[in-house]
Amino acid sequence: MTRVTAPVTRVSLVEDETFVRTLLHSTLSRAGSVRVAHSLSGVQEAALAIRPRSTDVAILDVNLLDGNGIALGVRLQRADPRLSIILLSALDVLSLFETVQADVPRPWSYLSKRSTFSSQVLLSTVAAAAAGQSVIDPELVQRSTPRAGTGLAELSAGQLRVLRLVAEGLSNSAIAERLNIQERSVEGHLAAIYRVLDLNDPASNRRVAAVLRFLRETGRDTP
Amino acid sequence: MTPATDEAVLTALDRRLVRGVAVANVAVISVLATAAWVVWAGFPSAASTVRPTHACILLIIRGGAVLCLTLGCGLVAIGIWRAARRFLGVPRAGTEAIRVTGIVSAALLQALILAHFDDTPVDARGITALWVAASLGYLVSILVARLAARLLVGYRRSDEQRRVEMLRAAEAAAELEAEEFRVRRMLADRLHGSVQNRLVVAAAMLDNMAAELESHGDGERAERLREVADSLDTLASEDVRTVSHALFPTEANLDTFDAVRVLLSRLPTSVATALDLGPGLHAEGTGAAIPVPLRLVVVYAVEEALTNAVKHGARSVRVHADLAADSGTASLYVQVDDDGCGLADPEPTLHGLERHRSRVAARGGHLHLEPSPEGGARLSITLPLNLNA
Repeated sequence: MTRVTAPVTRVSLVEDETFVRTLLHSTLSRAGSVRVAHSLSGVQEAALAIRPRSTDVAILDVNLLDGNGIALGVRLQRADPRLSIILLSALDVLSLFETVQADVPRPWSYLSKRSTFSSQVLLSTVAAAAAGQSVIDPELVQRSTPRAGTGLAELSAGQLRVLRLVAEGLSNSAIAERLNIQERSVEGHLAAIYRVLDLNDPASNRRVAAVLRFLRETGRDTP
Repeated sequence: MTPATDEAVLTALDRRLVRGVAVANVAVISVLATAAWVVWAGFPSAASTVRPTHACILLIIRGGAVLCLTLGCGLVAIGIWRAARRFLGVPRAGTEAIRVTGIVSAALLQALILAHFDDTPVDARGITALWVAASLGYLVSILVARLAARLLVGYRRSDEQRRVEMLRAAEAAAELEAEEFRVRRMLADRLHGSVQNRLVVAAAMLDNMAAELESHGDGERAERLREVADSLDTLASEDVRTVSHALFPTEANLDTFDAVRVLLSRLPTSVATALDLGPGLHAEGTGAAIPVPLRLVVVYAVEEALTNAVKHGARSVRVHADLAADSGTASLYVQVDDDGCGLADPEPTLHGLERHRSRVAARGGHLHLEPSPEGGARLSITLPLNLNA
């Protein structure tokens, strides 16, 4: 994508750890497609500074010194339903994230802090989130296994591989490239996945619904 | 102690009891006086000109009249005693003087009545004797009632004191508990926040260094650095989380059953899980309306049951919960079923669950372990709730 066709994504950062915030800021600033609108350290500050329509993507730490990033995200999105949220956490709050995800106007994304230090992961997540996609931390997605007795456990290995990449926020063409298959077979896999998971309404965002199911019906076994 | 407060501690029943004692005593005195009157002068003599049956009827009528009148005198004495306080409560000596005057006057009235109904004339000494006897009788009757009132007041006061002490003890326990939760929550937050953050940041810095080393062609040391970074990451995401969960499950801040859902999601993926919430819990925010200490009781007990289930090789666990509410009080019912190798004994002894059983019992609930229809164990918890509190 060139800078002419891709509009600049305005990102606001809310993170109380100075080191992490600085690092994220510099990573994002280096990318041409992103402009950092606000770089903030707490809930109070963020609630005042982040006005509706001033930001496309808000990156929020879950545990902030003066409050909770999830509550802040819900509040910001209520004021601006077009805002995309990326939650950032030092801990596995996936299950918490999942309970929120079920009723927000625009899908949320989740990155573990360690992953955000990889500029490639961070930037692709920002891009996918800005496009309305739900992105789950790639490392977490790869560690997740379908739980016995769920619909997800009925997916074939190939289907699961595709769904994992969908959960990472990849587009169909990116998935095809990653798995070295035709884009059309990615589409075929997706159709099969929707069928197995009973996601029958083409009008709904089935991609996001499938990611939600992925979150709900997997667990991360500790080795 | 002022009489007003004495009066205030007595219940309506107590007061009725005291009145009853006074009236009963006065009634006994009146009966005795009437009996004395009959013995003294009432029996018709053999020489009487009146026929015996007529004499008997006359005696009964007159005796009845005497009894009614003496009883009336006694009631007047009690009435004056009570009225003295009601109208002249404050000057103590004056009140007592009026009371004594009331008793003495009522007694004089009684003596005169007895004398009047007597056929043979009674002299002044006789009337004085009757008067003194009646005065003493009334005085004793009323003092006995007063003694009963004193005893009741003492009893009510110590009862009230015991109640206040119990309330104070309960308040102190609740305060201690709140403080404990505050500290636990704070520690858990610290662990989640700064401790975990620092560890993750350190791991990320090691990652960066590893990448640099790799770019300089030192793949071997880069690999070792990554291993260290990984172990820091595990420390942050697993060990710190486990400790912090034991202190305070963050999810319980949101909702009781979100926390249960999190517990289920952390079970090995080879175990099928299900959480079904009954209609009583479907209303928005019901799980969040359960007070935090109770949420923790539920969450920790369910966690123990789940750990046991996995230990006993369960392939599937099911948590069922519902809330039954009627007129202000509600009870929360939670049931954990598994299909593990089950319980050998239909009345099993509790090991790890014993601690939870006493916690549940301390909140007025029940915890029960029995064989499950699904093959393994069934843990049932019932907890009374006050949702308005």
